[in-house]
Amino acid sequence: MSRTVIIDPVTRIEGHAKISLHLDGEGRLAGARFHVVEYRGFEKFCEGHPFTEMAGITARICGICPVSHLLAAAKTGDKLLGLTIPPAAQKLRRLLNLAQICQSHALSFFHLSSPDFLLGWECEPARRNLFGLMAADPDLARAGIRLRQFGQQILELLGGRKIHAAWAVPGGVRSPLSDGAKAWILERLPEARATARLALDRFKPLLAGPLQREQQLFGQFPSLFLGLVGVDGEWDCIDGQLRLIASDGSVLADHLNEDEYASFLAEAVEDWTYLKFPYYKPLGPQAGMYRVGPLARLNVCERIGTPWADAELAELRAHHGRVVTSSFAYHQARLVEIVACLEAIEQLVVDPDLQDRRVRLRGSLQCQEAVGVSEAPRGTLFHHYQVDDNGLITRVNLIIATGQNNLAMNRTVLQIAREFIPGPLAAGAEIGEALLNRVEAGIRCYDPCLSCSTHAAGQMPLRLQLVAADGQLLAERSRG
Amino acid sequence: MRAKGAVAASLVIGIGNPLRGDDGIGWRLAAGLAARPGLAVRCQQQLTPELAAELAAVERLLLLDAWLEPTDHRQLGQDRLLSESQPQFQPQFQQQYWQPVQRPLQLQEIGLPDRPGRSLQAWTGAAPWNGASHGLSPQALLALSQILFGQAPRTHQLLLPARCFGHGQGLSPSLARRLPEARRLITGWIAAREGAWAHA
Repeated sequence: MSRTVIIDPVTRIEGHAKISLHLDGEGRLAGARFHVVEYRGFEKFCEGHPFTEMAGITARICGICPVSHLLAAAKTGDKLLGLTIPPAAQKLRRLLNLAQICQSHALSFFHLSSPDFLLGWECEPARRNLFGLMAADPDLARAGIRLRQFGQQILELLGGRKIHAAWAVPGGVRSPLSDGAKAWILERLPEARATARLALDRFKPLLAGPLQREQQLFGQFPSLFLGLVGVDGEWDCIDGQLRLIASDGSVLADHLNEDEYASFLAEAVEDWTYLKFPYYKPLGPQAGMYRVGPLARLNVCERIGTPWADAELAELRAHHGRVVTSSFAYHQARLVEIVACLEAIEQLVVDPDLQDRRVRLRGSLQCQEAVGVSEAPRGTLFHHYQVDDNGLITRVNLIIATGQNNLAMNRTVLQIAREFIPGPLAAGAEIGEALLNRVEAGIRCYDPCLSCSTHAAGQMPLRLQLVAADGQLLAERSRG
Repeated sequence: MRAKGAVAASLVIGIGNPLRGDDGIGWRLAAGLAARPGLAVRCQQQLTPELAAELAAVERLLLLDAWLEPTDHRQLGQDRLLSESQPQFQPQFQQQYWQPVQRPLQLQEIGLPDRPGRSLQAWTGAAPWNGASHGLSPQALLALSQILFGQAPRTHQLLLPARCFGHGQGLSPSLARRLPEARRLITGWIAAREGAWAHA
């Protein structure tokens, strides 16, 4: 008799999901599924709206990374208008994205994930959160809060509000950097850098100690990696071109044109989840599985281009190899990217172009289809619009970072579950807290933002069930 | 945002979603406050941890939020996502079942224990942290501010009786009628501080 283990919902991720583990008739693990169980439908209800509204509308997809949709929508709008935006606007958008990545990574590392590392996997779940961290390491908790505040404040200084600021628009941005904003950023940068140093100093020693097993267990498998790189192969987060590499470091495709994404990416669907399964089309859904996000960006680039971040990247590669294949390393990659963002902000904020008042061009519709791409904190984000003669949207396709990691997330869950359920699971067996914690934490490596395809609502208690094929509840475990 | 070096004495935070009917009342009231020296205003969909750093720098805090109005019909009070189009909101139904409790609005002070240490439960009496990155209770946010940054402001909240949380920017008629009363209380809270300055 086959059975299913369900973890519903998964906690400390952005959104709502559940995990089910499927056992065969002999009680052996047969498969794992990461279910996204809510539907939002932005692609459909954007139809009929002017493309100029897309930045404002799609930013509402998420309260965590609205900037990512804002930028992708603005870039798509630039192309529909046939505009090359002013250099000041290009740099200001970059500054916005750097701040966004910084604050989002701070949220992921300090608020969501570090309690696992620093309090231990077996720590009582009610204490394994930011408040538990606050009690155990108040300096780190305080610094993490201040770092996220730093990134969010830059978003507010540029766009007038922390979330959903419709500041980037087709043709550029609405306003330059003010003197006051520049001064504030420069004043707070040293503290932000100190926080990044503190986090790295706390985290890296754990990799050779209590976190060794997780590095081998959490998504350690070969896959492809996709991300933007600059003209010389350097790390990039908004411009540049797409590069796809394999786990052995070979470049499978370079200078990929986002306008032709449908020729190299396909999206599979399953009837048990609302999250699609993008894959590299030439290799098919199995071999074409790829990962995006901070780890992918570090894997595809040659270098970052700033001294401290490059030193951290070298250390990461020295520990894991040139291409890092363990998804647990996403956490360290986030810290490296925080450093990269802070160094880039430091260089950028003193650029006089940022205070140039020529930040926006206006134009008329030049074409009826365009694709914009940007790097969201969680990975590459595609916006594809088709419009009619009046600029009204007739079709939208959004390929979200979390979706692109979907195949890898499912495989990660399976890998972890196999470790904790090595043999047949007897009927009525207790579901261990260790399995529960690791499976959730495995998903959390990817920092999935399910708000992009679901709605983050309500409390997030945890329920794990062992269910027989006939629906009989064999075992259950609840949390929260 | 405050100018560099300046510290606002008072902070008003409006909480809610302005696109979900009555839920946006706190946001709307906060957004409508005129700028004045010593007063900072924020509009938030939820209370998030990073606000703790800001709270530690102010003397007084006023939270404005929607509150699901209790009625004598139990089922009605259990669903925060009711909309005007649902049968519970049809006039006939309301006449029959809806008997809202019309209490005067008042500012409620949110107190914190004197020396609770670093246990969150000691601060709040419960665990308001659900593990997500947002959605802190006022007590949890104040605890965060006190524990991590050494101080928390004296805090009041004004809860406004709300009924309709469906899509839209409008307010239900019953809530709209309470706006003058709410504004008087907010103005009085702000003026209390300004009066203190005037007498200092």
